Amino acid sequence: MRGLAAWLAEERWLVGASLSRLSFGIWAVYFYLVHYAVREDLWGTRSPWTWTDFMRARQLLNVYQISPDPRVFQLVYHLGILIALAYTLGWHTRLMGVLHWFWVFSLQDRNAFVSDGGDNFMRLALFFLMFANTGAYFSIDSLRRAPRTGLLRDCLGVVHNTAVPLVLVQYGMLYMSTGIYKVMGEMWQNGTALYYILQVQTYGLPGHVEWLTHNPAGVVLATYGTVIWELAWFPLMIGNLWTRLFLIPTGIAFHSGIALYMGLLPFGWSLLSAYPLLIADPEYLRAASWVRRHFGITVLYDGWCPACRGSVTWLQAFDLFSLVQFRSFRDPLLLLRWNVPREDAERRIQSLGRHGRREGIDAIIGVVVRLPLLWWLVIILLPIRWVYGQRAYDALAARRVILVPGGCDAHCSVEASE
Amino acid sequence: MQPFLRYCILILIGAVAAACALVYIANTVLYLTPPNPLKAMLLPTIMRIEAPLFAQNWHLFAPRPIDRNYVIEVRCRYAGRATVLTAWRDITTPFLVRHHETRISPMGNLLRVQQSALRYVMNQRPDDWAVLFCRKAGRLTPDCYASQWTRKMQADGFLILDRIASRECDRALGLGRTSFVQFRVLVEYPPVWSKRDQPGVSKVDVFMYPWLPYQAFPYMETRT
Repeated sequence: MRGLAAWLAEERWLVGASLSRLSFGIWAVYFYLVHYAVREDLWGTRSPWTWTDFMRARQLLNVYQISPDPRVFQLVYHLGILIALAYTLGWHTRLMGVLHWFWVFSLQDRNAFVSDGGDNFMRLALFFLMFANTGAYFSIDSLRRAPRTGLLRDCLGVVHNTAVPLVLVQYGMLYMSTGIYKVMGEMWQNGTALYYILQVQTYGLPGHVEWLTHNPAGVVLATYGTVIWELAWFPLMIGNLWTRLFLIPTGIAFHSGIALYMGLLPFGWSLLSAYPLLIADPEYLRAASWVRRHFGITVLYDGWCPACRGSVTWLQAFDLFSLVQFRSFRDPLLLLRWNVPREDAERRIQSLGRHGRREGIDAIIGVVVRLPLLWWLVIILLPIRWVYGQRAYDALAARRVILVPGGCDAHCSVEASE
Repeated sequence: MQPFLRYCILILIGAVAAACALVYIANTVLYLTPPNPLKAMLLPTIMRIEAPLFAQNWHLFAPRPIDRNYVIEVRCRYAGRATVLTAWRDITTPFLVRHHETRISPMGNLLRVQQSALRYVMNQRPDDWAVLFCRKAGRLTPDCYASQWTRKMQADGFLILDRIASRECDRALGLGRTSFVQFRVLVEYPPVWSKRDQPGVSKVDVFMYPWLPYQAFPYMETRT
């Protein structure tokens, strides 16, 4: 009984759930922003499906029902962007998960004429993920909160372990259902369905799809391949790691093809967003340790410099994949271990990895490259590197304040110490 | 808390969650299958559980994919000193061109609104649910499908297209100057597979729809 309870409560698929949260969150931010300029035309006061029509057809509680006032619409839409951002970043993830589902669902329901199958899948997946722990990794919550303990945590774990498989089963039902309907269709049976779909200008991309639509082998293989892949999805999903690993690249290729050639980017993105759930936590951890071995770096910084310590704390908060290990070179054993001359370490920050040793601004760029949330900084750092080389870094590093434990009256500069 | 009690609570929650999940899965499988006797027998229960919260449709280009192009054209009638009739204005192609120019633009969804509405207007095929409901009612006739579903969908489709056309007329003639709008649909059938390399084999049908009263948008009503 104890074993069963422990097995039920131990949360699984935490990495996959967190990655799905990221993908669904980024999708929503993208969707809100891409449609920002036409939001009034699709869901607001200029929408041909007016607020009155929406209220007549509405079946569930909806945040857009509060008022037909355009200012309320603007407020709700902008709140949706903020909620999507908070959900993506993993800030109060459980609460944001509920709000995000409600806002996404409300937007879709406000004008059902805009929605497609991807939206349909998203509202179902987000509903199930509301009950899952999607903030365990790559989230602000995971950085600032100690994991819950006690009965509540265990109960939430049981619910989490039910919710995540439901998303995967939902995938299975989706692919099986569409596969069965396709088998029933004449064009799918005779292998020409793809040709006809790509002739429809709403879906085809003139000038780019002719290589496929005029190639009998390509059309027939892609048509039959689609049906076979969709029907095989569920059996492969409940297979083993290798069958699930097969689904990921083929799924990415399939949905990317739909996004690219049929112009259904939100649809493809939405359908791929929960694919990370196909991989279990131990498999992710094995992959992560391989990535760390090959791409991880150790950074030697000045642990006596308060500004450096502050920067390191800040950078660590962004190290979602634990690819950077920060160590103070003031620990004498470290310099010996890494064979770094003390003068070099005092002069410039050092990074050490499989690539060898880098220092100064190159080391900082190496750190930033490993922190996806800070990739935008690369745009700033690279021009500085090209124009000034290490001089800009050296000028800053030479002026840093150092607090030597037990000496210098708490104010020693690098120049003073030299 | 006693460990035994704790284990019992966890197992109970697990059992309830698993039961809910199984009910959902079984119901959704039935909901998604093509019309069949079991589905017909359990229809009210299936619908109560599934709709509207878990409503879903995964036909996704099946069984018969969309295989034709629909272009909507609009003209406007303005009754001033003399009745003015505008030329036909294509309201589909401009969106389509911009959608093809950049795939990450909102044009795809703006286009989808009119194309979805048009499908509502033109759809002659009853959906699975209509067939099932009519079969249960013992009235497996086109009239049954129409009375159950299609008429409501058609009405909504007309409403949307009427508003889109009215808006286009506002652009053409000025705000609120139109009295009636009319739309027609050019349906282009691409060449069938066997004639795909023969030029000029596409066929175009034109469907005319009746004049509809001009629909002012709520925001326009408040401004004028």
